[in-house]
Amino acid sequence: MLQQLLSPQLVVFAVLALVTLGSAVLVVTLRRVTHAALALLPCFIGIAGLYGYLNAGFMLAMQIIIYAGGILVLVLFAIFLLERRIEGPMVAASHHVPAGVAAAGLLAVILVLLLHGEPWQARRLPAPEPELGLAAGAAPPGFEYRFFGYGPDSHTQGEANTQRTGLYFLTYHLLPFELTSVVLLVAMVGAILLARKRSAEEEAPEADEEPVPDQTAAGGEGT
Amino acid sequence: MSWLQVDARHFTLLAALLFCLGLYAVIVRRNSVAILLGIELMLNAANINLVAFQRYLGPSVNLVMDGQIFALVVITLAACEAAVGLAIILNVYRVLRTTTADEVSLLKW
Repeated sequence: MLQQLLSPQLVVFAVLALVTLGSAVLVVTLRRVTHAALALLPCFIGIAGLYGYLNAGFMLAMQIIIYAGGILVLVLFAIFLLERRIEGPMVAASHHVPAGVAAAGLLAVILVLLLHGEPWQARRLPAPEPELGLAAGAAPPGFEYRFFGYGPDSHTQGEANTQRTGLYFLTYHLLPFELTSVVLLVAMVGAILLARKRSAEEEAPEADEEPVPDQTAAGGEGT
Repeated sequence: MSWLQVDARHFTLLAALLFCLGLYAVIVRRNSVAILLGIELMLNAANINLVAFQRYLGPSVNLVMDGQIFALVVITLAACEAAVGLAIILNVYRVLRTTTADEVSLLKW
């Protein structure tokens, strides 16, 4: 009886969802910001597992590499830099807790109610014509066979996920791809401009106003 | 329509709860870095929805990848947002000596 109720899919999903939500609760409630940021790691790994469940292998890899490996390390780096200057643990106090509970709870109730009344599977879109896919000349040689080899319910070709992602990024979704690269460039330049130390020319006028004996102190402050 | 069969509703429910937790963090937390962590949770919730909708509700022939493509774009934007946001927080601390969001009120009239 229990085995009929608990399919392997449900068990896997439940474990991943529990890991994700449990560590998300820790992220929201832990007092030290370092601990909250570290609790984000199992949350990201749980979400990566969910992407694996959804047969999105490339998303799984990117979730681990960018979120767990990049963003989380960046956040921890910033926290440690700030804690060195604060000279103590950075603590995130909470305020307006009733307002937060009310707003988040209300949103949760609304979303769950919306979720309850919709016949999801009935809305499934019809399959597109194969001709609406890539033109035969656009596909690289050898790709077309695998590409059109997928049946209506063949969701298990995880190894082709990366290939298809790249193909779609460079054909149908070229504009988001290029826009993303521009945004990345702008963000990189902006982050460097914001975070760098003030250059010598900007410091110089302030140093001129100082009397001569204070220049050593001003230099010590700048480092 | 039983909940014992995993489909898009399960993922949407999970994403909704994750989004609400992120919203709670954004409202309640006073530290700017903790608020950024809440925003990351909300972005992840949106990504789960995008990938799950593509898998379960998209065209049944597995040819179209729009959900995953836009989830990847969102991940990239989240990385940009984290980099710029943390740079701003470091800069604000350098000027105002605080990381608490409500104490940054220079533009308040």
